[in-house]
Amino acid sequence: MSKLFHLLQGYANVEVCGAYPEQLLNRCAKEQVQFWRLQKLDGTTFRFRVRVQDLEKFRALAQENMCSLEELGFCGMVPAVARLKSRWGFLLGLAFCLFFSAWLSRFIWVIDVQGNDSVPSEIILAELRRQGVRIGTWGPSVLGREVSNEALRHLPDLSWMNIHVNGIRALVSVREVEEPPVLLDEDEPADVASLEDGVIVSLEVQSGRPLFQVGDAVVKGETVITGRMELLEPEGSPVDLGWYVVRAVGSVRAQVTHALEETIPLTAMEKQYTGETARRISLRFIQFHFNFSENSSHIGARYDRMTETRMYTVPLLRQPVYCTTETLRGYTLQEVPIDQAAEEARLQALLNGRLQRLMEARDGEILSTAFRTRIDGGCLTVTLVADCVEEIGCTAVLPGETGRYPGGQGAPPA
Amino acid sequence: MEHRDGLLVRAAKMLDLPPDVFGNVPRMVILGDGEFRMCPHKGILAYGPEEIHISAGKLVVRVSGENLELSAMTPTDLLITGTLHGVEFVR
Repeated sequence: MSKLFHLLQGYANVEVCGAYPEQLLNRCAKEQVQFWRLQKLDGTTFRFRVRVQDLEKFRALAQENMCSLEELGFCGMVPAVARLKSRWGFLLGLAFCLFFSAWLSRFIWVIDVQGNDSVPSEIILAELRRQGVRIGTWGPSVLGREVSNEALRHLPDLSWMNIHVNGIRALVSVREVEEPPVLLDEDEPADVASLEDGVIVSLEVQSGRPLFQVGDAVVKGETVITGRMELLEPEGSPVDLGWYVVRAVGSVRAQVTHALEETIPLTAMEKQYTGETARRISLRFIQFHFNFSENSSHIGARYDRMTETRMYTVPLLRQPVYCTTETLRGYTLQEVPIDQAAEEARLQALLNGRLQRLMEARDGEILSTAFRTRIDGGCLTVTLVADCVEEIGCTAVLPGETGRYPGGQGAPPA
Repeated sequence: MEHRDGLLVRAAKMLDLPPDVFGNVPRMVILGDGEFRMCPHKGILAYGPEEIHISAGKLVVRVSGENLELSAMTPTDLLITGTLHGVEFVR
């Protein structure tokens, strides 16, 4: 720590030579002149360090004690700053840099959005831009609460927003609107039907009556759990109890074999650029358009068009001037054969993705997969055969209402 | 002044008090073999990396060792660092 203080204060390396230099040390101690790193070079010469602020006093003491003094050099911040006094250009540049650093740090250069999941950050940033908060905005001018409230009016998917400007960074914290849960309409009668052909591996019934058992095979569209329950009277009784209709609810998991298929032709049309290019430049100011077109008649029927529009602000004009540059690149289409191995790998990845999405939607798991590839009729076909266990139950709404249907009226509508 | 100091030291001895309470008796503290402190002192008589002579009034304190360095010195206090071999009093 003392080293740091010495460096900050600045010190001088001095060499004293005299008949009795120890006397000078004693005088220094008495006059509160700090010295350190004392080295004895010979019987009459000492070398040590003294603070820059004590140097004048030290010179006087050395003279009083008849010691010759040689200043070997200066170190530390104070001497360094003193050396810079004559270099006013450097100091001016340094001051300029410091001022600009301090000034530029008041602008917003980074905008971070956090807390959003379904609403993209770009939409939030676009709305903030409309409210005047963008990269380059003067930070102290951002009124967080007003901007948040105004932005929330235009972003219905957000329920809360806070803008915190800290230095060059604006942290935008948001909370999204939570979707209300879907309420089951208990008064609506329904069956649980099968979405796929498969073998039932688990069946959980919350309401309704199961028509299958674990291990049974079901066909797509078949009712697995029915909501129409016939109330069976005791054996021998002449009373007809009728039917009881409910909304069937349950989970039906089954082992299903999926066969997903993708087909592409063995040839593809590829662009071959002809090398013909043309450029069109147009200026737009309010409703006035000025076109400056190069000769583009030699460009064929097919071309790529790249448009770039720049906005210029002209002094004394309130409306901006838009300069649009269109670049046209002519091309012809040529039929080329596809790379079969690469396309096969791409289709396999595509099918895997489809299967993964299907499993996510149906809360399923994949037991095994196999790919089959065939070329038929000028097309490459890749088939993914996958054995999976997944939820196959779906609600099939019935006509009528839930409740009891007394006997003698026949079966309720199906 | 020396007569007065002698009286104060004798008085401290009579009252069973440490002599440095009243008198101008130097207190020396040696920490391990690397630090030597002395308070008060009367100045340095000779300085070198292997031996430093310090005046303590009636006696001279001779500190011997290796790489001795006068780390700090004020009108009353003194700190020597290095590898101490011995401290000797010379009357």
